[in-house]
This record gives sequence, C-alpha cells and structure tokens, in this order.
Amino acid sequence: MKSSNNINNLRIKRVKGKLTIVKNESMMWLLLLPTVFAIILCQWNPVVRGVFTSFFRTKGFSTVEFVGLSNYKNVLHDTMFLKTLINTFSYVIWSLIIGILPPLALAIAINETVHFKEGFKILLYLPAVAPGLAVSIIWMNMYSPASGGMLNSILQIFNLPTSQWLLNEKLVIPLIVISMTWKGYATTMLLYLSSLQSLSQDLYEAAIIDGAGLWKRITKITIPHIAPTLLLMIVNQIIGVFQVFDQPLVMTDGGPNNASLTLGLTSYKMAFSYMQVDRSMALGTVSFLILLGATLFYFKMQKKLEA
Amino acid sequence: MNKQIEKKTEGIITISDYKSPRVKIIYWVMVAFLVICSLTALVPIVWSFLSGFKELDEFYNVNPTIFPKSISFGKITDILRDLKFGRALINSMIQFGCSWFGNVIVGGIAGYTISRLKPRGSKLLFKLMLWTMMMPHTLSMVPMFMTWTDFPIIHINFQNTWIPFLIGSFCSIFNILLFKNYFDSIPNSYIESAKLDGCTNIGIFTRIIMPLSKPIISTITVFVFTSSWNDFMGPFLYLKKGSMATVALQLYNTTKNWTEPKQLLAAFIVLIPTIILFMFCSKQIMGNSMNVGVKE
Repeated sequence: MKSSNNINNLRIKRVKGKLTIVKNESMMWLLLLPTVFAIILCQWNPVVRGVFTSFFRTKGFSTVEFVGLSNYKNVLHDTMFLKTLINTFSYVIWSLIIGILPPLALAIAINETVHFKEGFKILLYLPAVAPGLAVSIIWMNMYSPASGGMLNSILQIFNLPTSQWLLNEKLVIPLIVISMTWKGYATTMLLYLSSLQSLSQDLYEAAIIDGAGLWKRITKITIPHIAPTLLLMIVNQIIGVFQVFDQPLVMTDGGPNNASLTLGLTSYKMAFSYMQVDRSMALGTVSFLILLGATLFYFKMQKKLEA
Repeated sequence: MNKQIEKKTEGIITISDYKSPRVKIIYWVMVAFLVICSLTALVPIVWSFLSGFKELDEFYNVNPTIFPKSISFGKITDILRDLKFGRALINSMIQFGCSWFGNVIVGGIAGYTISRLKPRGSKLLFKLMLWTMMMPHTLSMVPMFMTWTDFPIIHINFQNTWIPFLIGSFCSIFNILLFKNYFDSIPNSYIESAKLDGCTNIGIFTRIIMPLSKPIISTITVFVFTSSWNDFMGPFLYLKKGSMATVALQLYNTTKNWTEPKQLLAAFIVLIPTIILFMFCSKQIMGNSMNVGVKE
C-alpha cells in the first residue's frame, strides 16, 4: 500500500515537472509568436495566395471563378512574354559581364594595399549606402540625351556626336545594369574582402618557401579559397538581377518600345496598371519557379563543392 | 611611402616580393586602379551636386561646363519646400521607428530565444527561417498588397496606417540571424555564473545580454535606418495619403515633372543624410555586411 502511494506521488511529481516545462516552453514560444506570425503572414502567405490566385479569374483584387491553367496559357502565349523573358535574361547576362569582376578585383586590390587602405574602403563603399531611388534619378540624368547629361558632356568635350543613351533600344539594358552595378558592387566587394582576410597568411608563406611566384599564389591559394564565396555571389546576383524591377520603373518605365521591360515590371504593371491581377500572378508564379529552380541548383552545386 | 610598406603583413604580395621592380610596378598599378575606382564611386554624387545648381539653359548649353555659374542656397530651400520636406522627414522617422521596433526589439528577442532559451522545435523554426530567406520574392508584392488592403477574416484596409511597416519588420530574418549569431558568441560562463547567483531568465536578458549587445544593436539600428530611408516601394503602395508620404516617396512622386537640375539637386538632398550617417558609422555599416560572410 505504502509503496504504491510512493509511486503515485512520484508520478504526480513527474507530471508536475512536465507541466512546468510545458509552461516554460510555451512562454518561450510566446516570445517567438510575433516573429512566427509575421513570417507566416508576410513570407508564406503571399506565395500561397499568389499561386492560388493564378488559377482564378479576378475582378479588381478579388477572385471570381476557377479557370484552371487559362491564365498561364494567356501569359505564355502573349507575344510580350518571350520579349520580357529575353530582356530579363539579358539583364542577367549583362550584369554578369559587367558586375562579376570589379568587386573581386577591388577586394584583392584593397587587401593588398597598405596606403590609404581604410580611406579606399570608405570611398568605395559610399554608393552602397545611397538610396536606390536617388541613385536611379541621378544616373537617369547622367544618361540624359540633353547636352547637359554627363555622358553627353564628355562626348562633346572630345567633339564626338552625342547619343540618345536610355532612348536607344540597344543601349538601355546595359546602361541600367551599369547604374545597378555602381550601386551594388561594394556589398559584394566587402564579402570577398572578408573572405580574403580569413585566409591564413601561413599558406602564402609556405607557398613562398616552395618557390611559388605571384601568379601561382593567386591561382593555387587565393582563387580556391574564395571560390565558394564567388559561387554564392554569382548565384545571388543572378537571382537578384532576375527580379529587377524598380530601376527600369524609375528610369525608363520599361521603354523605349518595351526594350527594358522585365518580368517583374510586367507583373507589377499587370496588377496595378492594367488590373489583370490573375495574369500578373501567373507570371509571378512562372518567375518564382524559375528562381526556385536556380536556388535548388545552387544548393546541389554547393554540396558537390563541399564533398 | 616605403616605410608604410614595411608594415605590410598580409596579402599575396609580401615585403620580400616588393623588392623586385616588377612587383613594385604591379603594386602601384593596383593603387592607381583603386584611386580611379574611388573617383568613379564619387563622380555621380559630385556631379549631381554641381549640375543641380545649374540653370536650365546652362544644363542644355551646347558647350557644357563642369561648375555651375552660381551656387545659391535659395534653390535648396525651394526644393525642401516643394518636397514638403519637414512633414516627409517626420513620416520617414515614424517609418524608421516602426521598423526599428520590429527589427531590434522583436527581432532581438526572437534571436535570443532561438540562441539561448531554445524551446522545443526552435531548431526546426530556425531551419524553416533559413529556407524562407532563400525563397524568391517575385510573388510577394501583389499578394501582400491584397492582404494589407483587405486583411483576411477581419476585412480591414490597412492602407494609410503604419501597421504594414510594423508587422512587416517582425520577420526580417536576416537581422534575427545576426542577433542569434551574436548571442551564440557570448560565453556561456557569464550566464551560468549569473544563474548561480540566482538571476532569473529575464534578469539574465536585461542585466547581462542587453549591455553586452550594444554593438550588434547599434549596427542593426544603422542598417534599419538606411533601409527604411531608402525604401520607396512600401510607402508607394501603402501610404496613399499625401500627408503621410515619406521622403523617398515624395522624391518619387513630386520630381517626375521637374527640370533635370532640380531633380538632381533633390536626389542629392535625399542622399546626403545617408552619406553623413555613413561617415560616422562606417564601421557598423561595413562590419554588418562583413558578418554576412560567416552565416550560421
């Protein structure tokens, strides 16, 4: 009798112990509640809702009836779709041509210099803190076809004919990419720099003892060390530039003759200018899937690199 | 100049290499490259300032000049008036306040909970957060607009309120990550000894963690300021009332039909606060970006 009582007491104690744990843990989860709520509302909800809406016909911003894949058919068969897709890829390719090397070269150069090192770092980082909108307005005016536009002023000093810049269908994408690179290179540069600074000096010293020249040291030590960061940055850039949207919105509004229109901008215009929310969401889902594919591909590559 | 080079202890080129003339040339070419790039970084900003003071006929003159005929500060006050800068500045500060509360207070507590308290399932939450951060954002703007203008279940339109900015900042996963990393790096022994002295969880947070976290809090504060000052899509979508417009939104809305010099000067004025802040806090801003490299 006594022993069973003891066991019962023990049981009660154990349950009570568990209860205080639960109480504590639920208190802790209470601290996480705002974050969890906001992640569900602002990160997952739009994806679910966007994909959901893309299967419906909409009136204003509310869904009316289920239409299956017809929005996708409309969007993908639209002649503009192919053009904007090509435009978007052309942004990405130009950004890879213009934007990959400068931050890397600058990071290596800063890491090597001893003269005015901190000064260079601060000056070079300045564009990264400038508001994107102000940057777009400034560059838009630098590209101004008027004679006071900066590039035209320079051409005139050398007595060269002035150009239309952003009004030229062939130039518009690389020009926008240049302004984006000007704003964005510094962040990437710092990442390379921190990766370079985490490289142990002993490796170089060992290489020097083995008689490795400058070139050998760069190709055999520096490059392999920053390769993972480089890959990450390239993928980040592809994903970021693929979603390009506000620079063309501010600088050209997609013109001239839709030459700078991107998937993101089209999706925005469909929803807010043409009131075709259903199609906008179908287009958004298509680019979401493309980017998701790119991200998954990156993870696979990364695993291979690590292995 | 050569004395400085003797201090060089890191990098691919070493002091012994520097003795060879070929390496010396390479080194100075590199410095020249840095000088040119630094100038490229500055030119658009300086040019916008100089051209912003030009008269329209000066700007369109066939023989372009670098310097404007006169620098009159009357132009600046005109632009500040046309931008309704005072009101816009207050609104920008309110936006910053909302964003700061979400990022630093809510984000800091979340970071602390995941890093130190570790309730059951928080590891899973952390993994989910990392995955969420990787998610593309092409589907966020329009559905979020639909959500905020007609909130599910309660059907309230949150346009022209600060709620979207406040709630939206609760889930800046990147900053939560920075907080978590920082709290992870605080030695456990501090907390253990506080516990031995009978300190409660709340006491540990307010008396030990908070004072130790000043660097990360100031870093994230600076970061939140620049990002909220630069944000124009959010205000553009949710602040339709003219009296609620922030500085960035005013810049977008009002300058569209202005002349080029006026646009440039306005852009320059909006740019100045971030540059001044950067001059004072360059360590925090650049340090924050450096932390990205050591995720997890």
